[in-house]
Amino acid sequence: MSSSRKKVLLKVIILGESSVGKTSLMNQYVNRKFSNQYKATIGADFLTKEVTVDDRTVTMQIWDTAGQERFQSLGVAFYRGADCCVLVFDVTAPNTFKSLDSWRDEFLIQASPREPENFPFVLLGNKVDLEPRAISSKRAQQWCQSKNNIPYFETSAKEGLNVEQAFLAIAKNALAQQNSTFDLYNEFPDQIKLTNTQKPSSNGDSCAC
Amino acid sequence: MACTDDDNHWVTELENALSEECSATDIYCICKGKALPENLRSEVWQICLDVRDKGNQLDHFNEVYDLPNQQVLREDCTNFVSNLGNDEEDKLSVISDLESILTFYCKSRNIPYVRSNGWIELLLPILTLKVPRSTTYNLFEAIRDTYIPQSCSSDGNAFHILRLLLLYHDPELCSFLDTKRITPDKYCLTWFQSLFAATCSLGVVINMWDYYFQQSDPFFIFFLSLIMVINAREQIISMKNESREKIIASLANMPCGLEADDVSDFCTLAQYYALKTPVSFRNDLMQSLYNGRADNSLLVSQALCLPVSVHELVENSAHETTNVDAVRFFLVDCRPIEHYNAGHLPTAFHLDCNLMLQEPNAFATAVQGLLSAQRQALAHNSNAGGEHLCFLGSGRNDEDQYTHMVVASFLQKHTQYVSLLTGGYIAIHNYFSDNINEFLQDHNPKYCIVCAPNYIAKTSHNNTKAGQSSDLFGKISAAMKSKSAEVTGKLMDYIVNPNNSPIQERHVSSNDRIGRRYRDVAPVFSIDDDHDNVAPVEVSHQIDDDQQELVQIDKLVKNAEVVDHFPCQEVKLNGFMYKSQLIVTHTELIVLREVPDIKGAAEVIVKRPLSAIVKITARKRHPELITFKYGVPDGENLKISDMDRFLIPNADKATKVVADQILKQLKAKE
Repeated sequence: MSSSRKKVLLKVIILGESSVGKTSLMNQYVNRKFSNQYKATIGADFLTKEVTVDDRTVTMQIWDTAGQERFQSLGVAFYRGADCCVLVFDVTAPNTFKSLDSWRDEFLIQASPREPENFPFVLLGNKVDLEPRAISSKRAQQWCQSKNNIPYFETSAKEGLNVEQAFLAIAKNALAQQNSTFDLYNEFPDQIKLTNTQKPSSNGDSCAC
Repeated sequence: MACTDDDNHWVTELENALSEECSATDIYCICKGKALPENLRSEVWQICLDVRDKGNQLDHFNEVYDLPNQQVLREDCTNFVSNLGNDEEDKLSVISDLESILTFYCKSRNIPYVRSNGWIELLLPILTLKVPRSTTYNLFEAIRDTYIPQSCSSDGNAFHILRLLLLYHDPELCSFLDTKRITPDKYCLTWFQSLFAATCSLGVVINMWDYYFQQSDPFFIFFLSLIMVINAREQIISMKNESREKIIASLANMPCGLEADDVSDFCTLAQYYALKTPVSFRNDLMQSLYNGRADNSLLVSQALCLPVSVHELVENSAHETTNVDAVRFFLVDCRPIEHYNAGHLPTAFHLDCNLMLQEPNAFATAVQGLLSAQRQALAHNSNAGGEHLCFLGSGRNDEDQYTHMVVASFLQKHTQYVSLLTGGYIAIHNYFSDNINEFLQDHNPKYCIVCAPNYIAKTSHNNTKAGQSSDLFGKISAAMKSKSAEVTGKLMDYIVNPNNSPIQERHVSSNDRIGRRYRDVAPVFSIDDDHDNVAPVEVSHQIDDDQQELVQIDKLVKNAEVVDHFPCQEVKLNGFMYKSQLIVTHTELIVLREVPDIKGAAEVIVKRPLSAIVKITARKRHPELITFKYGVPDGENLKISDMDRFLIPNADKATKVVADQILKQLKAKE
C-alpha cells in the first residue's frame, strides 16, 4: 500500500428542474442502471465513484439534489464546498432550459466560490433519445458561450449516451478547480488517515513481562 | 334492554346538563363523541362553539346587497338551493337567508366573496338545525374562525402540514404523490374549506360535526384528511400508471364513499393517528393557521420532515407514560462526534453524519447498530427508547446540511415516524440555559459549540491550570466511563447477529495463565491500575506521568513495547463511533481515543491483555468491522465477559498482527 498518495475527493453537485433526469444520470454513471419510472428525490442523495483522471485516482462524490421547489431551501446548504456544478436540462422541455440561469445564479450565491467567474460548471442536455426536441444544440451552446464557455454535453441517461464522457469532463474540471484553490475541505473533519507515520521499532525483544 | 337503558342514560344525562349551566367539557364527558339526538343538537353545537351569548349580530346589517360580486353570490345561492329539492316556498326563504348571512359576513369581515370558497356548503348543515337566522350566522362565523384553516389558499400552510403528516405516517405514499406532483391542495381544498360538508352526504357531515365540536380540536381536520388519504392507499398506488388528473379526482372524491355508520370508526381512527403524532407543530402553527398570520410559511413549506420542538422532546423523555400508543422518541444525534462528546442529552444516540459521506459502508453498519439499539431500548422499555425517530443537528446551517442528508436517507428508505428537532443542539442548550450541566451529559464548556467562544475568552489567561484541575476527579470519571462502556459492550452481546464469519478463533487452553486476567472480567482502565495485578508495561508509566491521562500518539507508538498500531474507529453498541488508535504491544491491546481539537493526543480507554482475547471476528459484509471478544473458558464453552468493536481500515493486517502476537505469547509460555 503506497503511503504517500493523498486521497482526492471531489464534490460534484447536480442541479436542474424536477424530472430532467438528475438522479437517472447519476445512476447510469455510477451503477449503469436506468429506470423509466420517475421518482421524486426526497431532499438529496449521493453516490460515490472512483475515477482515474490523468493517472490519478480520485473519488467523485456526486450529490443529487431534489428539483422540486419544496426542497430548495434545504438544497442550498448542500452547495457549499462543491468542486463542480452540473446543470441539467431536458432537451424536450423548454422550461427546464429557461430556468438554467436561475439555477446557476442561485448556486453562485449560495456556494459563494472564491472566483465565481471561473467556477467550473458543466451543462448536460439530457433525454436526447426523446422526440420532439425543443432546444437545439446550437441554442444550448450559445448559452454556454455566454457563460464563459461552459462545456456542453448531450446525453441520454436511458441509453447511456455520452454519460461516461460527460462525467469524466466533470471530474477533470472539478480536479482543476481543486488544484487551483486552497484546501476546500477544511470543513470536513479529518478523513480516516491511512498513515504509517512512524514505523514502530522492530526490536521487540525487550518485553517487560 | 340494558343496552337501551344505557343508550338512554347518557341522553337523559345530557338533557339534565343542558338544563343547567354546562360547558363543552361537560358535554364531551357525557357524550364521548357520540352522534347527538336531533332535538338537542342545536343547543349542544351552540355550547361547544361558544356562541350562546353572541346575540344577534345581524341587527347591524343594513340589508343593502351591494357587494362587488353580489350577482355571483346570488346565483350561487340559487343554484345550490335548487339542487336541494325543497318546496318552492321554502326555497325562497332559504336563498334569502343564505344571501343575507353571506353578504353580512363579507361586509363585517371586509372580505370578498369568491365562487366555490366552501361557504355555502358550510352553511347547509347549520341550516338543517332550523334555528333563527342570527344563530345560524353565529354558528357559521364560529366554525369558520375556529375550524377552517385560514391559509387555505393553494400554497397555504395547511396543505404543507398535511403533507408533512402524511410523510410522517406513510412516507411511501407521500413520496408516490410527490412523484406524481400531487400536492394536498389539489385534492383536499374542498375538504378543508367546508369541513367535509362539500364532499360528504349531509347525514355523514352532521355526525362528523357532532364528534368534531365535542372534541373541539382545530387540528382534527388534518387527521381526518390524513385517514382519508391513507385509507385510499392501495387504490392510489394501484393507479400508478394513470394520469395525474385521474388520481387527483379519485382522491378528492374519497369522502363521498363515507357512510353515516362509518363516521364513528373514522373519527376514532383519526384520533388514534393524532395520538401517534408529535404535537409541537400545533403550537408553532396555531397562530399562522387560524389567525391568518403566515410568518412560518417558509418553515413549513420547505421542511424536510415534521418539526419537533425542544420543549416537546424534553417533556416527552421526562415523563413516563402508560399509554403504549403515545409518542415516544428515540433521539438520534447527528452532529460530528467531537460536538457530541462535548455535551448531549442523556437519551441521545449518536450517528455521525460525516460518516455517511466518508465511509458509506461504515455508515450502513452504524445505522444497523442504531436500529438494533432502538429495538433493544424499546424491548427494555427504556425512556431513551421509542418508535419515533427524532433527529438532531447542531442548529448551524453548515453542519446541518449533513444532518439533512442523513434524515433524507431515512425518508428515502420510507422510514416511518421521522422528525427533526427544531433549532438542533443550540436550541436544547438555550432551553436549559442555566442548568446545562444538570441536563446535558458530558457537557464540556471548553468544546461545546455554544459555550466554547465564551469559555476560551474567559480562561485564555490561565488555560493550563484549568486543564490540570481535573486531576483526580477526571480519573475517577474516566474509570466510570470505561465501566459503562463495558456494560454497553455486554449489551451488544444480545443484539449482535452471531452470524459472524470467524477470521481467527482461539480457544483458551488450560496453559493460559489465568492470573494475568483481572479476576473474571476483562480489564478496565481504572485509577488503581498500578496497584493491581498486571505487570505494567512501560507505556502505562508514561500515561501515569501525564496529569490529564492524555498520551501523545506518536510518542507512544515509538515505544519499544509497541508492535504495531492501527488508526480505527471504536464502534459502540448505540452506534457511537470514536476515532481511535488500536495499539498492539507484546502483551496488550490498548485502545486510545483521539482527543478532538488536540492534535496527536489521545485518551487511554482500555487495555486488554492479549491473553484475554478468545475470539476475533469480522462481518462478512463489513470486513472492516472487527470484534475482539474477551473471556475465560467455562467448562466446555467460552464465557465471554466483554468485547470491543472497531472499524479498522487496515483490518486484515491488524487482525493478523494481533493473532501473531497471541500465538507468540502462547509459544513463549510453553
